[in-house]
Amino acid sequence: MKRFFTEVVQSSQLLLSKLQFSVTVILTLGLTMGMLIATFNLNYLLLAKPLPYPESDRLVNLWVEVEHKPSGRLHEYNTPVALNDLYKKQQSLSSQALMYQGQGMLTDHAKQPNLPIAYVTHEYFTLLGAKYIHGAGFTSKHELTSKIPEVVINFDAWVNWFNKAEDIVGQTLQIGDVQFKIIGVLQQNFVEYRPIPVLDSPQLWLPWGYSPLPSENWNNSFSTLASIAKLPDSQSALKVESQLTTILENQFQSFIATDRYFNESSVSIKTQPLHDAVIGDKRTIGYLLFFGAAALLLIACGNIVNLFLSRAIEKSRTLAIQAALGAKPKHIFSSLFAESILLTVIAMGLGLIICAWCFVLLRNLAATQLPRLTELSIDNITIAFALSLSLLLALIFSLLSFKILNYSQLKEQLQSSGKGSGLQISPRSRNILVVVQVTLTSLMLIGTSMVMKQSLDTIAHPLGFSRDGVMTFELELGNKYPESEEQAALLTALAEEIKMLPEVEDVSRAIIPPIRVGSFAMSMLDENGNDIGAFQINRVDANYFDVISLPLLYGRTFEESFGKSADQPSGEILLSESAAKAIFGDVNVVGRSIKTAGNVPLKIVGVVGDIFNPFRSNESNGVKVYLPYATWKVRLILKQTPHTSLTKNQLSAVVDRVAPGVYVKDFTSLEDIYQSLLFKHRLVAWFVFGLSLLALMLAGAGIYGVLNYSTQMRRYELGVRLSLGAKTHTIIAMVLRDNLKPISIGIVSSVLLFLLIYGIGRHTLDSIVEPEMLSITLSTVVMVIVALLASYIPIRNIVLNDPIQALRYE
Amino acid sequence: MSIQTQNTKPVVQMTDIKRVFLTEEIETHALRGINLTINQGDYIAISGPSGCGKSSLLSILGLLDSPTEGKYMIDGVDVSHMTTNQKASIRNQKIGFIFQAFNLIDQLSVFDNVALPLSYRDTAMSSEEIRQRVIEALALVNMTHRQSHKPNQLSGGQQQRIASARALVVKPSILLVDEPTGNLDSKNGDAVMDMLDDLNRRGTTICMVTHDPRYANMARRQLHLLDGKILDTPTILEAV
Repeated sequence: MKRFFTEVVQSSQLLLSKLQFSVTVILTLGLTMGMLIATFNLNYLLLAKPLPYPESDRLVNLWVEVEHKPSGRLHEYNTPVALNDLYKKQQSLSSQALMYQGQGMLTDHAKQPNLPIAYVTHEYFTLLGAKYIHGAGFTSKHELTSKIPEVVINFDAWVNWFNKAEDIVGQTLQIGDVQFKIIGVLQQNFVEYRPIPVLDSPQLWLPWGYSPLPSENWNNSFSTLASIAKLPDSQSALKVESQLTTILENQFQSFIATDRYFNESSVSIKTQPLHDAVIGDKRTIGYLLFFGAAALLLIACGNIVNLFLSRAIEKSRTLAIQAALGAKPKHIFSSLFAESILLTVIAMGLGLIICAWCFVLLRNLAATQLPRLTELSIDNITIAFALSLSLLLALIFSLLSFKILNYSQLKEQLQSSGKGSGLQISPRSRNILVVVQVTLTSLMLIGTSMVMKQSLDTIAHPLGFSRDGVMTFELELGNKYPESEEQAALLTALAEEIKMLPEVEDVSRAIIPPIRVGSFAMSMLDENGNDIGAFQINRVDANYFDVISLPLLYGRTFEESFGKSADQPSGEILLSESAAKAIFGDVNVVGRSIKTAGNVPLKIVGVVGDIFNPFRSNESNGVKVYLPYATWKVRLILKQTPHTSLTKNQLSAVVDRVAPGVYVKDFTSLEDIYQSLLFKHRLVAWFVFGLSLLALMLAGAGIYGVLNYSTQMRRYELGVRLSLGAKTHTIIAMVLRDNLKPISIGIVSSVLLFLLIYGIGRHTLDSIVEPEMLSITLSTVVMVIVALLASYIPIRNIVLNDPIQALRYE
Repeated sequence: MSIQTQNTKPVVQMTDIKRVFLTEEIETHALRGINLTINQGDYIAISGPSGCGKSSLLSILGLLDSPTEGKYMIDGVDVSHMTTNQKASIRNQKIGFIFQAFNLIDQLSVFDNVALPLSYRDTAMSSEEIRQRVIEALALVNMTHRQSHKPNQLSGGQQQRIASARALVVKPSILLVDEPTGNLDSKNGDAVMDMLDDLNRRGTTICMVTHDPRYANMARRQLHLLDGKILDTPTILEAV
């Protein structure tokens, strides 16, 4: 061991004198090892690491499932009434918590921020093992329906809105027009459970009694409504599901008796281990990232193997002297291993720094795509993996170097004149290195170019409407205006006032903006009552299409003009062009009808253009339906007068005048919404571009290294050919033709490998990449150009000089 | 000093050729003003001590290297400022090389090695024409029976004969020979020298670099190089 440490010290001195070699190896390995370590950590989180909750293996996500018998379609149908009933009556679970995520405005704060809020029953914090910096969470006194005005805040809210006040417990905050007393601040490392990962983490937790959900009927289900529970020790999940289903059956039967769509349906309670619920189908993305990083490391290793082999040849004379002096094979290997391990361990250090950067990048890039990203950290498992990787790589590099040195022939080096060692990397090994590098790089390029194309297509896609000067905002009504008639009257009055502002050209009402993060869909039936699937929906007034300049293709818009009572269902519907085509084909659809899931007929009065929403655009493809406005969400959309600018203060002044105590929230332009929607696509495009560039650079350098070596091996032969009168282009063509063979094999392998991977993982991959020829062709062309360039540069030096220089080479 | 032979048609004319090798620290003057004319049918031996500039002169004569200064004409054409590809064409059509180390390509058969220069012709030759020329060249060196062998299956002397055939196959204006016996035993060396003598008698112009006085004496004319300069006034031993 002592001898090995001496070797390591000697190697460090040697490597300092070979700074270029050392720096190249450390940088290349460090960068790629860092990425692999980061993706390993991610996969460990997704696949193996228990959730950070007590007895997490007993925790389940629980939901109501309705099976529509005629279509066989399964609906996750979490209605507040069903979950409330279950919560009150169940005795099969050790513990159960309800959660609903929404938003609320901090009205007593100067900035009046609109924050993500979770409404929870008190068991939520106990089940998740919450720990607090200050105070505590809810207790059993916070019963299902009780309205105790207390709030728990998270670490970010404490930092951002309360300046880390030490006396925070007991202070109050106002949401809407209700004052809540702060009773606890969660620790920074608390990992909350969210029903949908795409939503931001809640910053405030309010008692379930304050949730704004309707609790009377089964008509509405909410995707942000969830229940988590702990299974009892003694009973299986299946048995618990059966017992819980029994509780709901009677209630469901009385509901479906009046519902046309569900009247041939059955209800059941389903559970899923909480780990599976959190991870969902994201494992494949984890695998893909890991294999991408592994491919990058392999490409880099191709380069480094080449460097190590050249280094071994360079060291052969010194090692031959050692062998002549009695060094055994193990001594020679130890010397090579000392150098390798020193380099890989330093690279690992750099890799861990890169890994930490990758964590930040992942959190920013993929927060809505991947769960548990807040838990990414350099823990013991990560360090153990990094150390094992370093050891493995050091062993591979030193074994390959040892093999090429060939101990039994090492002493013969001393008998040579010193003009050359005679050691060579075999043409077969060189070709394998090129094939592997081209295959991996080309495969990576095909994948990244497809992802990049998808992002660029989204960025370049026209929206179908004009966002210029269009603003939107929602009203925070608090407990005021509880009835929809009152809300409608308020909106009418408010819109009239706002329209009188010189900065405002036109106003309309809609429950959601035309583009946004999120999905709001409704199941529909055709004229004969057959299920035609779920359609993206918006409820808008007659002015909406003018305000956003969405063209009416034929027919008319809704008859109610702005300002009239809009709450009564008019029985009319407008379809987008794609929706009309999807339901009826290429015919005039005005006058025909479709039905709601509740069998209410809706007459089609017009067809408007498609809207392209950059958020999950591939899911809706412009298919959208419009119903007349109803005051479910109190939102206005307004068009500014050209060359003017409306401020939030102006708007708040009008609102305050018309409805004191009502607040303006989410005041933003469609341009800002659009830009924020594109942000992720831009980031993804830049990220994959950077990744492709890195892979290309690594592969280019690697292929150059190998082919340069090959060309140097042929230098004398090329000199002879030149001396016999071969022209520059003849030699270049000959060498490129020879090199093209492993390059072509690599490219064909990459395409076959891509097709194989796509064939196996098509189900998941379809949401990430869309295979198309352009990306495959472009990637192939770029790879061929880089590889040919890497082949050309070494020959260039030979053919552009006088042949004697090649002939003199030794 | 200008060296000329009696024949009237010059193949090579060199005027004040200099070759300087520059490294980061040292400037080496390999040739210091060479004036040389070689006429058709000449058989010249260039000799001198190691480092005197023999190989540099031969490299420039064969357009393998470029002079630092001076004018160089082959068959009356100034080649001093030709492009790489123009020089390649001249090498291919007018110059034949015989190297000390033979420089045959191991992967190719004897036939393909000899045919190699013909494959670099500006105007492609038919395979029949190539075959005839190769057989003809192999016949000149008595090696037709070995045409399908690989170079490493032949003796050193045989390899040098193949190298000679490869040089002759293009029907060069001048044959440049670099230490042709350096890698051969005396028996094979004598055989190669007899072959060169025979070729010269048949009209081939030869310029040979050798450090062996015995073989230098076989040439019709001898030049002695020292420190990059031609020392002696040549003596024409025999007119062809």
